[in-house]
Amino acid sequence: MPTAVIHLDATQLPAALHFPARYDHVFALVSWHGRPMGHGTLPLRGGALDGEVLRDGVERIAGHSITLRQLEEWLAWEDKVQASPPRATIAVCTRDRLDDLERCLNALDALPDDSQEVLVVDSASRDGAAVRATAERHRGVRYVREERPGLDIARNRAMRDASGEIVVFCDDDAEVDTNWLRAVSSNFGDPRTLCVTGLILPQELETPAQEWFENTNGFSRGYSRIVHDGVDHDPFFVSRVGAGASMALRRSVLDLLGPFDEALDAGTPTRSGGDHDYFTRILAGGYRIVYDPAALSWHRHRREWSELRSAIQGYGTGVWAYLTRQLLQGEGRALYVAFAWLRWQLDGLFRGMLGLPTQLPVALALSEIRGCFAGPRAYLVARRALRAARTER
Amino acid sequence: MTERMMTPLALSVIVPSHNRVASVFRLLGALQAQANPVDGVAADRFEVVVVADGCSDDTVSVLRQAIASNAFPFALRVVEQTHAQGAGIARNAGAAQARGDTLVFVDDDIEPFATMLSTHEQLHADATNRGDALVLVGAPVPLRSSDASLRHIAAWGWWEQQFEQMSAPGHRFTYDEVFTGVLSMPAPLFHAVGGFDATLGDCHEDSELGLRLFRAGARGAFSRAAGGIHHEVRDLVRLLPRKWAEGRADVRILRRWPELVAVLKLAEREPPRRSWMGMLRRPAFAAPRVAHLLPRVMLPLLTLIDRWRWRHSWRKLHGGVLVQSYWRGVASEVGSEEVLRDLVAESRYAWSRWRETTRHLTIDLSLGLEAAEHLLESERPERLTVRLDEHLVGEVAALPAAERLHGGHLRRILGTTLNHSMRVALALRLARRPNDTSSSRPAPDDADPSVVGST
Repeated sequence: MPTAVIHLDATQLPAALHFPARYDHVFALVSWHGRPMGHGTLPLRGGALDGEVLRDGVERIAGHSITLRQLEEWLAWEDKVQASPPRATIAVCTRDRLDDLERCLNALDALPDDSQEVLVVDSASRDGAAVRATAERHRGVRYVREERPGLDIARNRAMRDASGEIVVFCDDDAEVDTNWLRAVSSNFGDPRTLCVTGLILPQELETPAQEWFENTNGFSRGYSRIVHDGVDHDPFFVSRVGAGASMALRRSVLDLLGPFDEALDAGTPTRSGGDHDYFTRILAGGYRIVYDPAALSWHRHRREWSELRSAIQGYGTGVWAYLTRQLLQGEGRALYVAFAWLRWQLDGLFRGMLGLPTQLPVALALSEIRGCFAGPRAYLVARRALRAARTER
Repeated sequence: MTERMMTPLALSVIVPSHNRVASVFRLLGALQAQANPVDGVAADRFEVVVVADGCSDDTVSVLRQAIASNAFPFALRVVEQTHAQGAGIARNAGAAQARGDTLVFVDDDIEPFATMLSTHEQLHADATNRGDALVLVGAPVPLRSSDASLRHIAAWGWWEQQFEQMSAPGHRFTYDEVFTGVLSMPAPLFHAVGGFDATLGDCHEDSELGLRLFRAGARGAFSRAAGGIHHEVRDLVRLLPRKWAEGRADVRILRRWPELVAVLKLAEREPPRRSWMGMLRRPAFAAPRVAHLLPRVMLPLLTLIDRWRWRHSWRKLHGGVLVQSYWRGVASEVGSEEVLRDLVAESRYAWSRWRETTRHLTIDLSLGLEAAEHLLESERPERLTVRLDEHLVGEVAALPAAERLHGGHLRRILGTTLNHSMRVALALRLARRPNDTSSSRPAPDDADPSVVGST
């Protein structure tokens, strides 16, 4: 059965909540004065959550974190360098997803005005005029068209065309919370922080595919702010860093580390990996990435099982493609990481085949492993195609 | 020039230099660019004293020529030491000639930021108005070149991490965070504590001065804007003698300040002989000539590992080579492990006696947070007990290497330094206090939650 998704503010709990009959559980995010504190699943009794169950549930999910947060509020304490926030350009890279884009831009409209710019990068959509019309229905949105398909190509275009000091990327199938931009911007006080990622939760859990995605590949990285410091952090340990679906970059990163590798990520044979590759490059350069759960956004996971399988296979391809790139750049450790990753996948696969509890169902594990093996070739093919296209131009 | 002599000076910039005339002129050029009252400091409000420390190049003659031709809008003087005696002694010589209220020691390989002078002037003026004395460390920001080697990133990252730690709100400064590059303090305080210790040479003489300034009640401060670009070439070949000198300096500091046994690396528990650290330490005492050869073997290996980008192995080996140099420095000063053990044991006794002499304060948070901060600010103790009514909240032990506590430290202590359980206990007790409504959780009401999905 599907799971309802709700956002509860522990400072204002309702007396009771009622849900349509198709739900038997709720996925509840608990926040305290607008700051995410934890999430968990609560059972429904007769389609309702009464006050007592709510209170107990909130206490179980986030009671401890809220207690500590109350102390910080009493102290007015923030353990980060305070500085005036940089001006931001919000970049939405999109391709042929008009409904998603409309929802995404509606959420961006609701952000407080901090003189931010919103840039929609149309990544070679078939109906560019419709994307332009959707973008321009929203006040202050700037539309740019990139004729070459590819997410990393669109990201590079956004970095070049942005006017803000930081570029904050938001997926077109995500909706941001009203505090998202301020939370992201507040982390750039330290000059060595080149990238900030945020908490991403499921917008809906209506189908088994969405449930599986959230349970196996969900984007949440917890409810504590984490500073990943490249000086003493393994640059390949990027899965905990965050995801490109909610990622802000200082624009000066282009001069320091160069652009995204355009042979990676959606729109190319490698299908993903562009964000992880960039995280690795930032950390390997000795810079910092901050994960801040106060920067909240909601992502609409793919609804169909076939889409999920394809996405998981794409992740496998992207991981090995990005590791191939790193290996070609002289990072010998990429080879070790690739096989460690494969070993972990195979371990899960065998456990699944033996009927033992496992993180990924056998079919998905097989898809991911198949994706991995396709990764190195996909990267080389994508790179060759990119070079050929450059030569043609 | 005579007119200038009559003007009260806010700052004396003191630059010790040894055969680096081009660097000195780069520094003077950067100071000239900020010699204006609009966004810098008026030229008649500061002077520059260059101490030529045994220079055999044309530093002295070129500077004298610049002074004679009034090449710079500020008062410039040169003090000459015929034999090189080290930066500490050179700075003392410069300070003896200085006339400004605040002494700003700037190394000759620093290229000051445009905000350097005005930041030092402003922060010291603010502190004086509060009745405070400041030890202000300006950031010597290393250049981040395109060099992608692990060695370069590690050296640059070490400094940046240091700056980040010192910039953190409510940070309590320790003596080793007082480093030259760019360092300033009120002139009377510098003279009252006796200036730099000439016996320490060019290593840790700045930190040791910082310790005496802290003991005299000075408050630590750090500012990036008060610093400059540090044009320093730092490779392993130069770093190893530095680590050796640090080992030697630590022994000398321990002899003078035995209570620092609590923080000095040389007093850490001896590692097992067969461990990696044990194998590095032991030969430094037992077979110094063999130990001396180790870096020569390790340097090419480190270069190779750096090229292969095996980070973990590189960090372990690099750290090991540095530690081994440190131990060789310690061994050169004490002679044998037995002497070191005796020295550490005696120092521990001195440390326990020192703790008894420190000033202690108990504050009760039921006064309110701001009142507690004011109390801490006025008392400036070295040890602290925090209570909430009859409950113990936490204790801050006396730290021999740190500045005295002040009001600005309290929120960090309560927010992060206290251990996790104590913080939870404090939060729960605050929540139960009857007149504190801000931290109590409300009962359910009719407010709607935000329903995210398609419910």
